[in-house]
Amino acid sequence: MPVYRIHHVTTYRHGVPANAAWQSVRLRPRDEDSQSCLEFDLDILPRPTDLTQRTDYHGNHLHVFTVRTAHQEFTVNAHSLVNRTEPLLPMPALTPPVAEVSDLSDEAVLSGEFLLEQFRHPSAAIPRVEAAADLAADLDSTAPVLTWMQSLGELFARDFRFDPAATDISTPLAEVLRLRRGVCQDFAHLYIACARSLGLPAAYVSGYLLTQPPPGQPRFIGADAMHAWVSIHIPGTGWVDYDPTNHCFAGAGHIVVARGRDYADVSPVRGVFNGGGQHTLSLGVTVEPAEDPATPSQ
Amino acid sequence: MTPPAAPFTSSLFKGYASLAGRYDEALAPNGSVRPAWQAFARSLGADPLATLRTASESARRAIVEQDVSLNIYTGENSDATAWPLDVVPLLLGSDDWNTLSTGLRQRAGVFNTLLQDLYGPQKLLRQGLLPAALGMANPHFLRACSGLGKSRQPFVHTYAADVARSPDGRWWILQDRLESPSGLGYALQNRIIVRQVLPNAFKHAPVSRLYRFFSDFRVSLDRLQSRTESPRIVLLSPGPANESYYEHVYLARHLGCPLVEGGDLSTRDGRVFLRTVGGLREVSVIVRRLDSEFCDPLELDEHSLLGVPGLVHAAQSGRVAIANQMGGRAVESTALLSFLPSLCRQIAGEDLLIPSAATWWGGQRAARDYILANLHGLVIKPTYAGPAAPATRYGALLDAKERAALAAEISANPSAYCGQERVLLGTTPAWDPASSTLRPMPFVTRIYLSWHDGEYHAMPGGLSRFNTSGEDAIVSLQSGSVSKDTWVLSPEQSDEPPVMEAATIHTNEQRHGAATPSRLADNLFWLGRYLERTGQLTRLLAKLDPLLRDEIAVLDPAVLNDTISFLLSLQDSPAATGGTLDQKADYARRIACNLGHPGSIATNLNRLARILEASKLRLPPDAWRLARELRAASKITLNPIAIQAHLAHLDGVTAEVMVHDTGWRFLELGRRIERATHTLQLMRALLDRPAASPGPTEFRLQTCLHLADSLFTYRASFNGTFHPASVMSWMLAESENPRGLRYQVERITEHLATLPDELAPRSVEALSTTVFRLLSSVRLADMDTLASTPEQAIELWNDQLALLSDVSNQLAHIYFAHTDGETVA
Repeated sequence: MPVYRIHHVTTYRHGVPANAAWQSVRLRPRDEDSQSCLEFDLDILPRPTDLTQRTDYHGNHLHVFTVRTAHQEFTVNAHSLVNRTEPLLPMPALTPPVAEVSDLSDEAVLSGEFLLEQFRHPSAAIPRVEAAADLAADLDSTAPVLTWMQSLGELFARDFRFDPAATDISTPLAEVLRLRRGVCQDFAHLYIACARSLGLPAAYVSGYLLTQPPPGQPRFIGADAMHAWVSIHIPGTGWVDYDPTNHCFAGAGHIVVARGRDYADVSPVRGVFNGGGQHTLSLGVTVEPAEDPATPSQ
Repeated sequence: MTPPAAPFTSSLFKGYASLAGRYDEALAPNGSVRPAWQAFARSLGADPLATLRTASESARRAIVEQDVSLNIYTGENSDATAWPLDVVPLLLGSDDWNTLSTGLRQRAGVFNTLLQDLYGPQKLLRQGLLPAALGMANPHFLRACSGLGKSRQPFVHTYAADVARSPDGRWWILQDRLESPSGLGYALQNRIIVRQVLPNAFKHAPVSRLYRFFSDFRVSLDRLQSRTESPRIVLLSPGPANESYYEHVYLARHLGCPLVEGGDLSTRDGRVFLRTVGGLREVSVIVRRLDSEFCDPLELDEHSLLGVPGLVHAAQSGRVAIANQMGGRAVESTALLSFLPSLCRQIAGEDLLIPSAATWWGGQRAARDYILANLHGLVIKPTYAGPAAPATRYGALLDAKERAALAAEISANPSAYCGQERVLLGTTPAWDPASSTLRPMPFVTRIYLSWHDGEYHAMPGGLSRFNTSGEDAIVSLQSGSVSKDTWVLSPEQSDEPPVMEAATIHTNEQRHGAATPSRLADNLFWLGRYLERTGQLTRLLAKLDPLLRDEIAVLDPAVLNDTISFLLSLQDSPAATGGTLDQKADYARRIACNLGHPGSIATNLNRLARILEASKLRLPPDAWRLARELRAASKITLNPIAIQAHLAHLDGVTAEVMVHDTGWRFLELGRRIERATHTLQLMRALLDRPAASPGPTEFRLQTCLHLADSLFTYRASFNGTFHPASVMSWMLAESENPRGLRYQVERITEHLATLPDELAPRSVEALSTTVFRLLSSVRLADMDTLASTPEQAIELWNDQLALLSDVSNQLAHIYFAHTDGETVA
């Protein structure tokens, strides 16, 4: 039962002082089957005048606050302690063939699981892209969906290169496909576009990876910032998370913060300022193994 | 048995014939004129067409005079056009009205429940009564607003529907409006104009009055927020660039509530506040005319510059009521219409009373096949409207190739398309200015309902529109349609008092000066400054020619040279070097007309026009007309005389017609600060000279007084002798000269004393100190010393100019530029 201590710091620096700031942040890790958030603390400087919490439409924790002290620098420190276990994967052969998932999902939607439907259509950051559909069409549609997920990941590993310089937050999907380069967010969006083109419910997941891997294992890509991966809904099984950047199913080291249709649904920090001119944003993430407070040491 | 009445004839319907296959409002199928139209024709007198011609002309004049306008989007250069109105009303009998109002009440209730569920428990989605994709893949379903449907308040405060008559005489709904139904203000404005220009017809017809609907509308807004004892209502508009801005101004006036933009509001602790010159005042009800998506850059469209950060959160906390609540567009999807009958049965427990045009949604397999097989007979519409949505197309109007392309387009992404039965719109008589006769025009009417006392009430009237080309296709005011008043004829209602013409409801709270929105105070302050600045500049320009022609110009050309340089420096232009006086004057005139030059008179007039537009709501209607004439006068050529006349008139209106409230004080402060600045700049420009040189010539002194509009008053007070000390005294130190410096500074002191100081007591104190220093320096200056030591005079004037600029900056800092750190009043 690994327990992780996470420190996520976001700093805004303004050219000229800002008079006030309104912020909405999604930084508290989710509570779900394979993980529970044991502690969470938001440390904000300058101090906010109000801080309230809501759960958003996708069940993520949303904190909303305002800062009314004039400031040129503004910092949000999020500290969490999370207990995360290795999610159980179904046997690939027990998952339905990809070609059947769309019809099975239709049935699930009709029998009350209507929320699945939002993950099967284009969303703001993941428009319909023909080239993504072509990519998906090349794979064997008779394969079990779990096998298919791995094959699509391997195709990404072969054809796409991780390159933080190639894209930014606003690079459209079609451009990522043309460049064949990008970062975790791009790969997650692209993977989702491929899955949705076949009618699969596919979600975007934001979260963290362990900064230093256990001895003998390679360090993951995306470990010093926020990471992103995807989740595919398999009829009869449920959501299964896959990391297209590292070409693996999400494991005990993948700590889930928020889920949504795409990045726009889970953006960790969103802010509006009164004054302040141009600003720069910097962030740092550290994820370390911690003692489980529930099991006293010695 | 009574003998059959003689068949009705009237020259009104000469040559009028109904269109094949369509229902006509005036003519029955057998060609006879329907009774309501017979009565209407009779009420127009012996020559009804002449009456209508006169009425049309009067209406056009009234629209121009009242500056009723509609901003048509033409990309960057959007420009307001006069409101298109046909004076011939649509006549609706009480049977038709009962059918419509009953059916629409049912529909408003169904949509309200639908939205409360969609933004609440989502039972209808869970039960499959609303197809999952229409909620879950709907770009207009705003997830951030999820939960807002749980409020006890109605989600839909105002509902509107576009209705049309089908060939068999039944009514059909073409479109439902839930997001933020527009046009209510235009409907009211149409009524007021048509009643004015067709007084006799209006008097004789039993026309249902609108006043009750509007007074209920106001009361229901008050009651939307139960937590606050005296609710503060504001109308949130996207601003002057919006197509319906005129209507926003009109409605805000009518409702007696401030017209605000996103920047006027601020949120904290889940509450919404209006930034006023007296601090933050809590807002309890927002009449929303800003599209939901743009309402909150924090939780909705992050690129919106029009919204209020934190508004969604405030709505979620229940401390502010929004009419209509954000997110209504989600159920405006065309596709929804095919599910409405079953939803209505589920929600209301009864059948839908008025049908929508039959609709098939491509997201369902059978419906998609039907659409593809029947393209020729259907109207193909996008499932979700929006800038990226495919265009609406009439299958019947496409050739085989185009139809095949459309079929391929639909097959590729069927759920993005709907097929709708083409309804052949009924026609109603409309005035045709070209032939001066009536012509049958296919029309659509928008009917409004609002929530009051637990149920929806329809406004007995509406906004009818027809397309000037006589075609059915898209009857939108953006694409060249003409509007009509709509008369609901119901015998029992005709004796009620007339509609309110202007805002009559003012709470004490709103009258209280401190509640003046900061941005409005800012605009009024700059309005005062620009009125004065453009006035000074144009007067100066107009005086140039007579001065050049004066024979003294030949004797003392340096004075004119300095005058021209002064005019140039006021326009931020360096002095002209070389050339004759005439050439220099020409140069100054060219600069004045140059819109590309940032300080030119033309540019200043442009800014004035923009500020007038932004402060419209607080100016008397006279000022709107003047603003329009001023705009026209400065567009063609810079005619200083015409512009002066308009500016003088505006001065008069702002001084004598405007309420002398806090907003007006800011306007006056702007005017006085500008005039004081101008006086000092003029003195500095004309009376600066080397210390050793002889004193100014008499011509120079006269010119100085003349340019300051003080020559006449000076002569009267000083018996026509020109001494430098007495001229300076008259221009600077005498309280009696209304153009002089002292007069301005005294007025500034008086106005400042009336402004609220609870907002930032220390800054207000600092401001008073600055003004006191200015007043003392004006009072204590010794004119004989100034006249004999020019360098001392220049130093003093520079100091005074700096103090004036301080006053202006401190005012802006205290009252206009809120830091959001201030306390809640």
